[in-house]
Amino acid sequence: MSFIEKIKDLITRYYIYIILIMLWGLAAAVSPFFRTLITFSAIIIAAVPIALISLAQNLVILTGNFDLTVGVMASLATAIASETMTYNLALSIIMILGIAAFIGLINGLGVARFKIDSFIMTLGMMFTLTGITYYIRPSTGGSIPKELRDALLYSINGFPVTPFLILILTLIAGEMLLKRTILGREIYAVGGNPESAKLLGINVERVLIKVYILSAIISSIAGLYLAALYQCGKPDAGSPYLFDSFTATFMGGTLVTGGVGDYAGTFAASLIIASLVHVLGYMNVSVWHRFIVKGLLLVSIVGIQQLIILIKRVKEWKG
Amino acid sequence: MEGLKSRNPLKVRNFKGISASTLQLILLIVALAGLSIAASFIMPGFLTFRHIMTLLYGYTMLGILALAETLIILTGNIDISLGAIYWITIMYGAILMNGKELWIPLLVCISLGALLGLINGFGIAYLRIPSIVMTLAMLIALTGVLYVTTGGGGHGRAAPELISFTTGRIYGIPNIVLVWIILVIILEFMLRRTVLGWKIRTIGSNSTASYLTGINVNRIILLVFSLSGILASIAGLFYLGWARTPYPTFQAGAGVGARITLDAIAATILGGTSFYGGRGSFVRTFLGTLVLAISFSILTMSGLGWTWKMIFSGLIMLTVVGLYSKYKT
Amino acid sequence: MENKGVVLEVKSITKRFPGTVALKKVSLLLEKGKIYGLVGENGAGKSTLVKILMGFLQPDEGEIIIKGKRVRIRSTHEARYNYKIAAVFQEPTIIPELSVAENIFLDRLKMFRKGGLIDWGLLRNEAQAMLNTIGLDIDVDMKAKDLPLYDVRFVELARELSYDPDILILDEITAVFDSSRVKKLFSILKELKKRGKTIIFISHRLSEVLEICDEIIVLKDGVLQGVIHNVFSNVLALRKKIIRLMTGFEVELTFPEKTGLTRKGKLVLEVKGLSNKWLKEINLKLHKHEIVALAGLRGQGQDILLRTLYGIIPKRKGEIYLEGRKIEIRTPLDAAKSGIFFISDNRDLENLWLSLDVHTNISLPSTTSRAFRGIISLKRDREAVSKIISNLKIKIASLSQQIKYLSGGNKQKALIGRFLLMKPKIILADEPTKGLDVGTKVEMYKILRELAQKGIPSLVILTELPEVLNLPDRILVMREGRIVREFAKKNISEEELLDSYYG
Repeated sequence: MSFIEKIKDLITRYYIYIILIMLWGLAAAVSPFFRTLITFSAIIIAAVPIALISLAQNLVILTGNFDLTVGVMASLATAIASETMTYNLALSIIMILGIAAFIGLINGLGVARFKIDSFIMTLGMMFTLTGITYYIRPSTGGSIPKELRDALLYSINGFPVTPFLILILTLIAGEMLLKRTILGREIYAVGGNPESAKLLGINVERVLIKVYILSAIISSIAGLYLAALYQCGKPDAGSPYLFDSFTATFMGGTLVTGGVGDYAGTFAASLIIASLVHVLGYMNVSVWHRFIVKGLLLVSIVGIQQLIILIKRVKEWKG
Repeated sequence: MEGLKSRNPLKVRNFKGISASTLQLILLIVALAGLSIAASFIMPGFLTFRHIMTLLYGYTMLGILALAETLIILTGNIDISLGAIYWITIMYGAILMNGKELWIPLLVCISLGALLGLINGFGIAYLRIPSIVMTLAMLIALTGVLYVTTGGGGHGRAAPELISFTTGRIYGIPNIVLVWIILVIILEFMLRRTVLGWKIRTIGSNSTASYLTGINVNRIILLVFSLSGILASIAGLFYLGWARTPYPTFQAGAGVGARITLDAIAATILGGTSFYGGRGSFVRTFLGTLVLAISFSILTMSGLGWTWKMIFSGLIMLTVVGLYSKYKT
Repeated sequence: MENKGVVLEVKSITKRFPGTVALKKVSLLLEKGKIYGLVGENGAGKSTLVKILMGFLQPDEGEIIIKGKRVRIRSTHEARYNYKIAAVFQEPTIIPELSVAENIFLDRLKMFRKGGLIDWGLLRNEAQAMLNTIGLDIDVDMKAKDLPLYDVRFVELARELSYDPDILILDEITAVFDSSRVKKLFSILKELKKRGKTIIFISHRLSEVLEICDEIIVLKDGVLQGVIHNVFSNVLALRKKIIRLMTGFEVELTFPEKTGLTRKGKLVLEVKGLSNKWLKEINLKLHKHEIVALAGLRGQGQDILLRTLYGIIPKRKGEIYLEGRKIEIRTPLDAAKSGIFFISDNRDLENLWLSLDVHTNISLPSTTSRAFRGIISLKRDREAVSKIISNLKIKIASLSQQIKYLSGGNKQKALIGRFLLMKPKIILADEPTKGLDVGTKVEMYKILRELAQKGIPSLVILTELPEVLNLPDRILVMREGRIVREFAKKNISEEELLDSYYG
């Protein structure tokens, strides 16, 4: 491959990281505030729930399905936490994770065993769980023990140690899971070609169930983090993250149909989304403009992805 | 399927010799009947003409959005931005009309709906962006645009003619309900009896085959998305006429109109239109909307409160769809 | 009494699907160290039998007996691990995004687990070892999607062999092989036979079956017609016998008479200098009453040529003239508007709307001509479709039946019916008789010939020699994107033809 072709190939494969670096570089160059520790800390802290919930969604999408319950799972976690943590922190966490696993199991059964389309299944579950969440926690309130916040948001001299560690851990865990564990490879198999996967002896049902359970647990971990962050329960804590999880997954290069993609790209995209507030904020762009930029970013990135695929195909044919 | 010489049944026999799709229809009608009866127990006046009209009146907006969503799902795509287009129409309509002007703002709103739909269609057809991604991006962008340009609502007011049309009735039937029903009829007719309708079904079934047959798939996708954008605008105008001055709830990050869009999808799926295969009908979506409407009414009437409404609507959806899946071909 | 040589027995297996019986009371005895050929037309039940043996389907009646014990094979996992039966299926069963090594060991990755993660080094080595046993030299880290199809089949073979099966089933594995690869496969099979393994070899190429198989199992319409012992000598007689059992016909195929060259009619299509990445300076002519075949080895550009003419694949150079006028074809829409129509070899994926009904499949593309300002005239449509169905003798239960339940042959006829209603000027067909049983094939030949007589010529890709020799008026042999030879005489010998394939 010639030099130019090598560069082109690199760009096609790593564009999302390039965009991330360019974004940070641009912001740092333009605004002195961006270069401060405060901003960095804010981005890191904001990125944790996005990265976690996007991981959950990414896993499901790789199998060729959707999970619309990721946001409400986080909200539910904060709701339950706000009611129970003051009694016993450890038990409360165990209970929340257990409930999450149970809900994930239901999602998985509906999709895998009853063959209900995942969009509809998780849509119905989302309605139901939203109702339950608001029932437990009709409005922001309840209390979260200070210990949780101290632990999850521990910082030294303004540097957010635990959030940073959580992010690194999430990245490593996500990539390891997908690339180096059996479940990860089975996920790619199921998403890439479910019929073949079945014929090859993979228990597709079990893989899907595991994935949905994982998704629910990861989402509720994000919820615990949010509970610590807000120091109370919020019934709508998780809702912004539902669409962000899709955005990050698709921007990161995972295909809607499944079977192709990884978590590193999604992680980079999560960082981009988390940074947008600050990048744009310091360029004096209002809160809601950020939305427009996010939408445009999503379309442009996926659009370019598709164009690249199209161009490759046409070039192959035209010779 | 191997060796199928045709001593074939009419359709797939699943349950006492009835085809799967007919079975779904029967299930739907039974559910509707059952719910209506249950409702009339809770509220004796439920099934009176007057009350039915009042009920339909409340769900016309959802009903029309569901029709728009059905149109899109028939082509094998999905649109989660319809609720946002709906709200853009409402907000801009209010501001432009400002309590006075009708026709020009009306035209602008409908054109806007068509344009936004067209943009969606363009991204999906020509840029090959998956419909969920494209409409997600549109939803995100519109949420931002909406808030930036209108700052949250409370501006403007619907034109008096719009208000009177929206609240008016003919022979006891609310005008907008009439429009809704007429739309159902027109769309159903289009689907069953026009070339366009058949082409739409084929695209949902196998767009590659449609393309190879010489059907201009891209153009039809543009058309379908524009049309649903227009329908979303119409629904928005009706809402505006009812609310007079709009105050949308901006759930930070969730995207404006997300809830009603998901309801519209739910109604479509409840009606039996599926994501695969280009099979479905607008009449069924209408029935699906009714099922949702009556279920919500029952829940409201039983005083259970909003949270239970959510819980039960979710469970109903899951149950119905679960039953559909059991008898799938 | 247990026959020690018997490795598998199938007793009176019956399998039903909605509307049909795929297998009817099929009983077989398979012995160690023998290669069995399994032949039958499409729809005869071969793949169903394979799926039952692999536990993917359950029989409705009958039993499977292994080593004297009645067994129920409930999954492919059980088939491979508990009962030592392995199969390479008709459709390639690989995960495109995963590597060759992962594809081989996909369901056994646990073996390579080191502390929760996969030991890639070990996986790679083992995979390489497996490939070495069949003499396949490819990079095990390559993603399966980047392999050519014939290597994919060999990788699948390696995978199945890694289960060390007693019974190995190969369903149409040679479909994508050229003769050198077939030879390679056969040497592997002979080696397995020596080691006492049992092989079930499915192929529609009778010559292959007769070359390697000891016994030949013939299925027709789900019923076992017989198990014929291969004497490896009187091939012709054996061949005739098998075909008779497979099809119920005495003679293999009958073809309608060719048009004389003097009656080929005026020029309808002329192609000059057509070129793109795969085609090099294609020149051809098609006359009004002709059937012209594109022949040669598979994949030499024939399918590309048809698709370029239809606007699916772009051209770089060249001109196309239809009825004397130059036309530009950039998309299938252009081609369809000009009256050129295309039947793909992958009808289910590219031509048919499987989930829709028969009526729509046949009438939609032409319905505008019968419609009134965009509104469909159900009456005229129904009349037109009914006429087609009776003319072409398409067997359906009703017009509103979903077309996916029709047999392959009837689907093909429905497709032709669709094109007839579109008033084509030219038909481009990629392997129009692929996957059809003999009876339907003969009908298809008749239809194409009638069309030609009526002035609708066809340009068809044909791969089976009898068809190439007997159906078309002219044969254009392609090799590496060029037309290398044209045959226009009435009687061509098989040798001449094959010679031109290989140059």
